[in-house]
Amino acid sequence: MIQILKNLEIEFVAANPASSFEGLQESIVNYGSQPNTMPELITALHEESAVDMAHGYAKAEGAPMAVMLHGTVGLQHASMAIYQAYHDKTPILIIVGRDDKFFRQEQTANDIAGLTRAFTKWDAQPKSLKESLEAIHRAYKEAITPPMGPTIVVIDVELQKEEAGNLTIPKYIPPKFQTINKKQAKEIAQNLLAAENPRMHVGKLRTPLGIKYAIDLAELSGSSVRTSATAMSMSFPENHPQCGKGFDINNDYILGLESDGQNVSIQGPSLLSNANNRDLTDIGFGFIRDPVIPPRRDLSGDNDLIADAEASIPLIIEQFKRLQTIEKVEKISTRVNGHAKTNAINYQKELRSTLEKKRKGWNSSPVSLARLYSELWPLIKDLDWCLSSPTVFSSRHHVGLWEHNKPYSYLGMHGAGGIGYCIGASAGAGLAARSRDRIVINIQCDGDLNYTPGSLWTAAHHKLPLLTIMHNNRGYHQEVMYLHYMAGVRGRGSDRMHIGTTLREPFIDYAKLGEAYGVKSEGPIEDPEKLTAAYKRGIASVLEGKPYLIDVITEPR
Amino acid sequence: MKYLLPIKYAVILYFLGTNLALSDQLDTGAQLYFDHGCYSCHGYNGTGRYPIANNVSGIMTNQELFIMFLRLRADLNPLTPSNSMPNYSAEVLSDEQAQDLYAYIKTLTDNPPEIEDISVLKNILDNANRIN
Repeated sequence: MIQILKNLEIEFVAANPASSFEGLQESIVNYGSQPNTMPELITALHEESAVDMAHGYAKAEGAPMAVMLHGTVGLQHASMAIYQAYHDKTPILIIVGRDDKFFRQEQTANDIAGLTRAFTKWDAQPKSLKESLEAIHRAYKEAITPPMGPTIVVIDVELQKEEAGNLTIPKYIPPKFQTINKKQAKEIAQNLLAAENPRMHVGKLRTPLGIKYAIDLAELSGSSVRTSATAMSMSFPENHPQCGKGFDINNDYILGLESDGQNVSIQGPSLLSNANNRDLTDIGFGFIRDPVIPPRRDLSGDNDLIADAEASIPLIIEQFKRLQTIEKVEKISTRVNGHAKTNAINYQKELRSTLEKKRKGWNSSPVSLARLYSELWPLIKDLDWCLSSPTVFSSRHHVGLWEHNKPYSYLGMHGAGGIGYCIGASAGAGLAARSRDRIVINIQCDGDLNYTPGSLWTAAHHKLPLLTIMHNNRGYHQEVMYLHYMAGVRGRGSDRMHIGTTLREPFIDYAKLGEAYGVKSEGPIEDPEKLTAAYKRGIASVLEGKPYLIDVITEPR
Repeated sequence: MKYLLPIKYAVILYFLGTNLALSDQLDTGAQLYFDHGCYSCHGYNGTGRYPIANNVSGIMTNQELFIMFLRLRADLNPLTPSNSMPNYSAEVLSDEQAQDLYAYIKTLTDNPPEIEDISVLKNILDNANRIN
């Protein structure tokens, strides 16, 4: 089983140790000429953290890592994180250990995977070692096939300990992704060629290879490009000369790639398309039911072609190359230069406008969030960095200021808004970064950290290059605002809304928390003049493979 | 001259008293600003996501308009949770309290340096040139 994970180039398996997968765990750390390598066992302090790590890793790398969970209880601990990964269409290979003879019968069940079937892509409970090997292959393939998502293989302890004998590992056959057909590719290529001012809207592609394809198509067709790189991973680089509105905003053909497109939009199948295979008990979780409010990114329009954009772009490129003429090439070259020049000028103008907004409240204490982001940018811009945490609660000040040019520049939102995701996902991004000379920036909301702080220890133990900067507004601030509005509606008093929403009396000391988990930490910092020096110390530490935490007392938003 | 001293002291005491009263009002206003959650959107110093320092908001034009604005906010149950500006009825925040709050907000100022005087921002601007 572990050889299969090696063959699939699964880098990491995150787990909180448990008896139901002791056979697998022993194999990971002892099997092979280079034991505990590809995959390496990552110690998680909570099953939810283990899945969050896999979630963050997959979004950074465009490839899954694995997680091991213990029976019914471990899977339930992990379930919220699995739910988020499912909604985020993120591939994770999950192995659940099952021990029917365990003295705690509560920890086993006939159909353990049924617990999470409504929000996993696929699952199996093989009956033999041979079936187990096939199931792991299938689970991997299902996980990476759009709509991507977490998959589960439940493996009995006996099977984990069975001698393989002469059993050979089945040949891995990569999945075939659904693409547009040749006729559709030709039509799109013709339209791109015929257009005077084509544009591409690029959303989240599957892997970095998809971004390369999108760049190739943009350059070939001379399209201006709208990116989603400030909202999610695996999108078009912001600093590409064609990324921007271009010299003319009147576009006569817009192609969407995993994004909306005025003329045609190529989008992978929705989660809903998978629902009929999974919703056996009509539980109706999230997108697996007909949604009350259609989710925007799954919304099918009249112009949608349901296919994987990443796998379809090469077909368009092929057709485009067949159809283009010398005259067209020259015309496109002129257009590309026009876009590049205009986008560069616009960038400069927009940056000044952005900085004008950032300077407001510059010297305020608590620290303004604009300053928190602004002070950091000059220190990381020449490094290879990944912003791992959702930034909606810290007002997204990286947008327009930081340049999102890599597939992993910003990993986007939680998936389903479940709190407790950030530090685990950031540790996962740290796993992806550790051997790649990359650092990870986690702008960590205080409320969120208290769910699963154990991932700080994982970061310290596994030497992850993770810089955590606390956005410490000392409360669950979204709820502070909601509750104030509700108090206004009811008119019975609005001066007690801190009850149940704020984290005061006592304040939580996150620097001490970090230190307790072995992460070098400092703060709380209330004086913005002290930020840069703290950041420099943090970055120096992270570059040495030592995670660092800086507690910053901030404006709420 | 002998009459001037008492007058002088009277003037001093008058202004001192006014200042103390003003100080009390501002202290009360500051506490109200915090307790009633104004900080949550407008920031602890009026420089938050929706700035209110420097009298940039139209509702700070005068006290009457400010109080009217507080009273006229939405008063229906929102269909979904809302982080819009809440309603503050007279039962929740009296006119006198609203006046204290207004007086306090009027004192909030934000005078950030210009971009060129903030080395971090200036460097960002100077080093971001994409124009060849």
